Amino acid sequence: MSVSPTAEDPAALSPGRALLLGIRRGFPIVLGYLPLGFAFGVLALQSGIPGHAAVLMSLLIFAGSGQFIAVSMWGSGATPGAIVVTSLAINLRYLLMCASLAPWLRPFTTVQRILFGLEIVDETFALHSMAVRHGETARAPVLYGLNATAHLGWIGGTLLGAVSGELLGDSRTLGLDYALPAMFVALLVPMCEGRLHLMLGLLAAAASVLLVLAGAGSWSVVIATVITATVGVVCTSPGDPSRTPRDGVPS
Amino acid sequence: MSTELAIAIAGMVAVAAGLRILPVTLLAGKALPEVLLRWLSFVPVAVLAALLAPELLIRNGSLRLAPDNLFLIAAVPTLIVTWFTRSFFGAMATGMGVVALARAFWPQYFI
Repeated sequence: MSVSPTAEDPAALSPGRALLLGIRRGFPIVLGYLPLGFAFGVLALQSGIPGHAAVLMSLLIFAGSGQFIAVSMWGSGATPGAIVVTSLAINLRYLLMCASLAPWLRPFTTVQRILFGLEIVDETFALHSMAVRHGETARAPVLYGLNATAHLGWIGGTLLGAVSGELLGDSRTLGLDYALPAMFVALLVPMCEGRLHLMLGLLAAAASVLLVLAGAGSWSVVIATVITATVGVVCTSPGDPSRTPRDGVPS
Repeated sequence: MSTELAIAIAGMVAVAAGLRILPVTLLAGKALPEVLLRWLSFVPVAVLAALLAPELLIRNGSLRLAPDNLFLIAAVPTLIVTWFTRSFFGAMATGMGVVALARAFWPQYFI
């Protein structure tokens, strides 16, 4: 259950084994998504959203934090327009994530690219990015296996929460609200290898916190990301091995 | 489902799908400028750090760097387990376990 996808080279695998590899890579995400989706299902019920609508959201939207904020806005009486505009701000990072993975999808057809993009969330993106950094070739069975496994975990968690939510009481007792931060830690640590990436991570963290405190709200993540990536470009030159930070980082 | 809820969900579906489909269809297969590729290569670490930091450091709308900030404290064992085991499950079990135990035994101390 390693976070690092280096254990097996997918280029040499048969389609069936490649699919299994993708599913196996997605499995750790499921462990996080079950409690998280569960918490979402419970929160949706408490906000006056019927269980089937909550499951539909997890199926069609598949945007973790965006869904959480949408149901809490719905619970406090926000209009559909306000909810949709807020979801645009929160989910804008998917635009950057999909742009970042796009060059990797060169061998894919347009339909394949769309099917892949629709299942990009923070966690699937993080694992695909690590595969890119390790120089892996994009193979459809691996990519879809990973994405679909994570998505099913999210839908399944929502379903469980929507069905059994009212019996449970306060999900905080079980530490379910820490599933997301813990998952981000597990995803972030392997990305911070090398001095450049560690510094950029710290910069993004500081910028994001300052932006939240300054009232930037849902835009904080996107603004902090744009600032950090721009600083990264300014601090490196064209020949720099920015994708393989362990091979020597410029000072 | 009320009509208002259906409109809100349909709008969110369009937003979530649009933001993901635009880049993968418009950018894939194109030879992007080197500077843009380098810029995009820094997006992963930046996004994850920007998502995580406020979760740990901001409680109830203000910066909380004190030992009673449970989410910040729980990040320490989570980080240690991640660093040494690189295990997703270990990291999550540690983090959620520490939070659950702290709330069970010292509910007054932490915020």
